[in-house]
Amino acid sequence: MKRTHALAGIALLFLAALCFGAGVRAAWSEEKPYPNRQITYMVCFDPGGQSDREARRQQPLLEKILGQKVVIDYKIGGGGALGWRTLTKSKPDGYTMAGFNIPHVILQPLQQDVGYKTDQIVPVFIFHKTPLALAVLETSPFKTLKDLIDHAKKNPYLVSVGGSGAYTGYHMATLRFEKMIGTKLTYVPYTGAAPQMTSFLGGHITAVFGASDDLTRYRDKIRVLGFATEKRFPGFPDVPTLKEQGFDMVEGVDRGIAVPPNTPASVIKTLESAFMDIAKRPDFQEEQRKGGFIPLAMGHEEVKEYMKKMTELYTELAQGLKK
Amino acid sequence: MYIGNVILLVLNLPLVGFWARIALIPFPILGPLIILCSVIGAYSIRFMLFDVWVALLFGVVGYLLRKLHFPVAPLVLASVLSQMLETSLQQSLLISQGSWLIFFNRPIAGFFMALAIASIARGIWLQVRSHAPEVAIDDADE
Amino acid sequence: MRSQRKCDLAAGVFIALLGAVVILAASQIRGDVEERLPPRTLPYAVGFMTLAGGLGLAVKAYRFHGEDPRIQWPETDGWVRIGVNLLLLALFTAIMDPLGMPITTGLYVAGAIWYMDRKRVVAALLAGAGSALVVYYLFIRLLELTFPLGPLGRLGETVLFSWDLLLAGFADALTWTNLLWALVGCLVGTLIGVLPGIGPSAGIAILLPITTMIPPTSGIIMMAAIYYGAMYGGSTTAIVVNIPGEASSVPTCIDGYEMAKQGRAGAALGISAISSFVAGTLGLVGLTFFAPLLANVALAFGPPEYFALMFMGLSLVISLSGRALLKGMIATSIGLLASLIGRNPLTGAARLTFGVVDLMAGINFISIIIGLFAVSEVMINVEKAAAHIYGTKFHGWMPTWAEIRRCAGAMVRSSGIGFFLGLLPGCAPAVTTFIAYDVEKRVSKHFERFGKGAIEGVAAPEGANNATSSGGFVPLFAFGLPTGPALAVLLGGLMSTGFSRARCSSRRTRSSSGRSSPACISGTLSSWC
Repeated sequence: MKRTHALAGIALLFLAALCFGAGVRAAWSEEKPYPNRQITYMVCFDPGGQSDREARRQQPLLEKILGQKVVIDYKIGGGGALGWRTLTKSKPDGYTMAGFNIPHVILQPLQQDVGYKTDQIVPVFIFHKTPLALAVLETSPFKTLKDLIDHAKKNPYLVSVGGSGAYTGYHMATLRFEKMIGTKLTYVPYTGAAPQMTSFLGGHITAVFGASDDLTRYRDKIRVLGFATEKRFPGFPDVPTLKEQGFDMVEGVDRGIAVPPNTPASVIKTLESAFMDIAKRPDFQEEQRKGGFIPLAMGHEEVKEYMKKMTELYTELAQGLKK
Repeated sequence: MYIGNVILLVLNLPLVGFWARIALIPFPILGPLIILCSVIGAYSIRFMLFDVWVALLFGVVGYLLRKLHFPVAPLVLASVLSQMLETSLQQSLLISQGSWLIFFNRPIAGFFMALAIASIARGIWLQVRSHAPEVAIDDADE
Repeated sequence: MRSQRKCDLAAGVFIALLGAVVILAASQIRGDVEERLPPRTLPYAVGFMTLAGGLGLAVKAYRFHGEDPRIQWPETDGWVRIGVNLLLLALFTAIMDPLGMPITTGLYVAGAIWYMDRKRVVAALLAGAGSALVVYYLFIRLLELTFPLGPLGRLGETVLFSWDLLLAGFADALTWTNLLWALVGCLVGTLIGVLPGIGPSAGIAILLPITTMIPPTSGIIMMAAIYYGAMYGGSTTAIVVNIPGEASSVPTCIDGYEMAKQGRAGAALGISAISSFVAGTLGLVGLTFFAPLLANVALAFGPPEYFALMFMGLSLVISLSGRALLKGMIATSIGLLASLIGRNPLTGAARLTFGVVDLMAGINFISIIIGLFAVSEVMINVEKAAAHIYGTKFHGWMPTWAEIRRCAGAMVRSSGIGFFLGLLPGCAPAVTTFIAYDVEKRVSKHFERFGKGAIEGVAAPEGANNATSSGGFVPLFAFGLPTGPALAVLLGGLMSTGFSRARCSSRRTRSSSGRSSPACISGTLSSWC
């Protein structure tokens, strides 16, 4: 009996020491410069997706540069909305950051109440871009963009175009394209890029507006009809842009990092330079290109300008599309 | 990968004794530990406290359902399946432009639908024939 | 209210009312009624189903005049015990955020044990302190799950010992053996699987950073071991304490726990391992020889096929509720209702949220499972003031040879079902285990034994579970398409070791020129390593 009491006593003492140590540490760590404890990197999409893989690629590099542990945390839901909403409610001390996407964070609040507003997302950096392109299967009877458009004109609604999610960049692209060719298509939303591509490869939908990295992965099985970019995409040099074919449309998904509103400028600067270091590495850029991404290195101010421009553009587009 | 499979068998068979012993822990200690694991598990899904409250609520619901002899399995499967059910329904109707025949025109889909309808019909037939109260046979509590 | 008939009547009325509320709430849903599937349709449908079920039950109970079984409600002290425990749990949840997980854990465990049994003060304190330490060191420090830390959050990097150094040391010492890493992976994977809610996908995602510290081939083996281990851990708790580790372990609970109550937990666990092993073997055989053919089958499944498959799965389960068809239907509608709350998964439009922001995130089915099984099981035992969850002595640690032979058919059938269904991208493993269990019940000559401890009822879901994982590798190797989140994470992990890209692309180019078989075999042979 005495022995177990002693054990219990030791256990309690241990716990007390821990708490005491925590108290001491608390006082000490407040004075050290940022960052002085672990940082949480929120990923707003499913594990295994592009955001997650990107985060895990960056994690060891960030830890080395910032000298603190970087912990990846998942807040999945609502096509990213849950994570971004949580971000805007987090403490703006620089210890919470999240991966974010343009145009998602612009389009979502425009369409419905998602619990956050676009200007609450404070961007720190954008590290890559995946432009969208219209593609059909290699076995499809449509050899050029014109074939597809003619068919669509003769059969409104018959041509199904797959995309990831509703009111996302993919949906926008389809709606804009619909307006430009003057006939109705059917947009079929999927819960992510992976189910979209699976269904497409199985021939259940006629075409897709796919992201460049997905298209690069399946390049043997598909025929890309046009890229929604300013210039030809380096990974597919033979494919004309939609602009060349008469449709002025530029659409893509940019991915970056954001922090909560009111985060101090010094903190943003530290994070920005960390990501800038990573983005400037040639091996990082090479990996991005191989995967079908366009590596970018846009810092805080640049991204803010870019977001402002895009917000104006999309607000206008959204108005125009509301019949 | 196969090594993983072999290791699983080799490792777990001897451990069977150990795992089975868990049940021998006196319940006053085991109970709170199970609840602790449940809370950790529920919280780790999305790191939201809301999920833990849901687990608590469904604990009460589950208790009631079991007392009243309701089968729990369909509830579980329904909640797992429903998201996929709904998204495929929406997507199918979009592709078929509103026609519900799409589920019967295609061979594979038609096959599964036929199985489903046969199964429901058989269930109803058995129900109408018997006149017992609504007690689930495969529930065996207490 | 001791009579089943009266309780059914009351339950029926309550559920009918619930259905009516849902229909009312559904009429409030805004949305584009021009869409192919208007946003109100499904909520209306489920609401009506609930209403009809409730009314049907009430009417049936009212008109029934046969033998009336009794319902065992608890005595007063049972109610008190349940009430206090629920209160403790609620307090735990409420305090978790401000005080932090470790402290609250310690307090709760100590408090709850002391309440349940006043004599066990020492055990209570030890268990409390122990669980607090385990939560802090294992979950927060090692696995880096972001639990609320409360006041301990200021602890920063001061830990009384550092896992990083320890693990780096292990990595150095053990580079010479892959087997050991597989072992570690299995153990950790099983631990992850044992925890309800943390399934294989989360487990792999969490442990991925650790695998990057060790050589690549060992890393792959460890990841696979974690995956298999996590799947098995879920069935362990399903059998021993009626708590499924994840959705796919639910059918295992049904017969497995019954066997455990009869003292045959060892046999159940044993057949589970054996069945998994057999299924894994058959699955890998299928993977090697049939992968290219089957990969195309996977692609042939589009949205209509998925819908039909899910619908069939659901109707199979309802129709197997035996004579309680109406109750089965009601249970289904409750499940459907719970998942309708929140947002439409495709359009993101909110529904049935009654303006509460938290509800917009929807109800995750894992919390439902945890509540339905773990928490309610504890409540049932609390009410009885059980000293142990079951009192019988063990009858042997292993299944007998006769039993194993009896399960042979189940093992082969469930492997087939699991493998084929596992091919389909997006098909949850839970569906395959349910379907395998149901099929087994239908083909069995003694189906009344199911639900009372039939060993085939454990062999079937377990085999299907493992075969699904093997089947999932088919599209992964053929197209680089992961069939589910767990495999997606695995793919991510594999890609980080440079494995998948090279193998996938080489096999793809070769298969498109028609020489698929040799390439596939050579590719999958490497996976036998």
